[in-house]
Amino acid sequence: MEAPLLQILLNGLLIGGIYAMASIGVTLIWGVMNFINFASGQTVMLGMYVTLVTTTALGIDPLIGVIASTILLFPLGLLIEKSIISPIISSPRLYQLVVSLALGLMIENVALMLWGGEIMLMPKVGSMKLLSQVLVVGPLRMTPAKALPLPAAILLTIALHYFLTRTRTGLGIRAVAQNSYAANLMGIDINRAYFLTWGVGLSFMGLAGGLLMLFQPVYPAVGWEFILISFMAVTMGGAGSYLGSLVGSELIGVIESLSGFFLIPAIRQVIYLTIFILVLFVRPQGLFPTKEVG
Amino acid sequence: MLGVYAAVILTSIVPFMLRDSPFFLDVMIKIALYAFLGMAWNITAGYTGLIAFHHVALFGIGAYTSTLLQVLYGVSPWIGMLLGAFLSASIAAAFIYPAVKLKGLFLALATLAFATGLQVFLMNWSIVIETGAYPKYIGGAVGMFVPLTADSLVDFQWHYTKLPYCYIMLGLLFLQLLFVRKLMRSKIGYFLLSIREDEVAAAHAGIDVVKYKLVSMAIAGFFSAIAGTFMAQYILFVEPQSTMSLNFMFEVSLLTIMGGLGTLAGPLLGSLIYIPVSTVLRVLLGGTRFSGVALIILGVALIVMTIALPTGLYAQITKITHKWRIG
Repeated sequence: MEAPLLQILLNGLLIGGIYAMASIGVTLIWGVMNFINFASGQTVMLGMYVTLVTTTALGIDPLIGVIASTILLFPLGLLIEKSIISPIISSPRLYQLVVSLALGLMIENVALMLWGGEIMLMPKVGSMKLLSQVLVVGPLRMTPAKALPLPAAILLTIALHYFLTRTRTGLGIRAVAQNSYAANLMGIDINRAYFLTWGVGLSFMGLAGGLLMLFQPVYPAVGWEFILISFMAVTMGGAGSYLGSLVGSELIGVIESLSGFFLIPAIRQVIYLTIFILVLFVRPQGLFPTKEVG
Repeated sequence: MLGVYAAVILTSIVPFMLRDSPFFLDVMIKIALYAFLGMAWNITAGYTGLIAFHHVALFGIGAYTSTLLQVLYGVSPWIGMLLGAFLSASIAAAFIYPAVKLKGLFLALATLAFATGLQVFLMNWSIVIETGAYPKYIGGAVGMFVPLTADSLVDFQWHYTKLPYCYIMLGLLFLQLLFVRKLMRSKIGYFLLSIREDEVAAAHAGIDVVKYKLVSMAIAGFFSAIAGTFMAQYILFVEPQSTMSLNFMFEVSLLTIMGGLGTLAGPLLGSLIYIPVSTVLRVLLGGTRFSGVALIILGVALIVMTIALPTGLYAQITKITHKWRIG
């Protein structure tokens, strides 16, 4: 039983990588703007469709499709911020939640209108052939497509850390996150920081969607599968802490994979949902809190 | 006040006049049902300021309790309705007790996790009972049927007309509105409002914040479960996927906000506008890929309204009528 346990742990970590990819954008928008983006799952879904459509319509390599989705969702983020988010940025929390929820519903149903409700998979063209082959490493087996999100999430977290602590723009964004009023007094353009954060946040979700598209079938309602999980990951890690959200995602992935094997597979979701609720009850501030976010 | 009497008389006559059209009766029932649930959500989110999304799970608890009691023990759904309502109220209160310190979004997430968890659990939970020659399969993802009987008030089912359903739902809504009106004019109502406005200040004024949060949740749970039993008896079938879908929950909360959060008429107003529009669009566009247009319109309307009139439609209407009265 040695090998299966290792394999299960590996599977859990890889699933965690997927969740981490999906939650980095959430962390960024939550941490900086203190804005709860309930449309995040649908944005990831949009990233999946954009990758699929650019790949099949233009006949390019799926990996280039992933890059296309990363780039294309950046201006969309800017557009959403300017048109919908900035007018309600100082509204009560419930209204932010509702507006992002409405935005999510819109994105989902626009996708249904454009691409129909069928479940679609990435065709096996170009690098997909290589990516979907089973790799055997010692006692472990995995497909490169499923293994990609974890290193990508780790790399992005490091890049984000560098961006937020070393560059001028990043420092500005963090200053806004800590105290937007004081940041404004220091001459930082808050609106620009918010604007950029949404662009980058959506870009990350586009990347996450693109990487997911390499092995996960897409349909308009697929976003719902990520919303709760990414928020759980972010909350467990501690709101606003991007390292915490990586750890939170891995935790959920491993719990899911272990409980799926040792307990009843069908209710593995119930297990991590229960653990999540218990964590909230005991530590509402998350496992690695960085600051007060309420 | 005259308007209210007129509305009550009108709503009690209209279903009878439309008794030959199951379609219109169905729309009326849906309007009343969504308004009823919207009010249940309004009690927590609108009056107490608790952003919670587990009402759909409580709705499911109501539907499952009455249906299970009927299937297993042949208990009348009316008794099941009451038992389900009390069960749901106690579960809602028990859930909020450890979560009482959770603020804003964290409560929303915990309740979403609760609703999803219960849904997944019910999808995978099933029992097999031996009845006569064949074992009977109850629950699970395939759902279960309410045992069919002849038309009767005791068994809460009618097969040839929707009229009784319509009157029952309208009656429930009417009773609920009376109750909430009374509640919000009582001391408890003011306590709930003060918790919404400022929890810390309320606690300092000597209000038992924990207790009244529990009360608010329990009332919402009670009403949600009643709506659940009604829905189970109306379609004579329960199943976790659609009965407890989060989309349904969000529809209810969004139409409440559209009508006016924290107002008595808000949920009813939102439902009166949203349900006919969505039904017509579904009839016209259902089955095609444009079937989501109703939700797109709802989304756009909500975003525009939140930006332009954050207080909801009801506040706008009262503003206008107030102007009329003053002249």
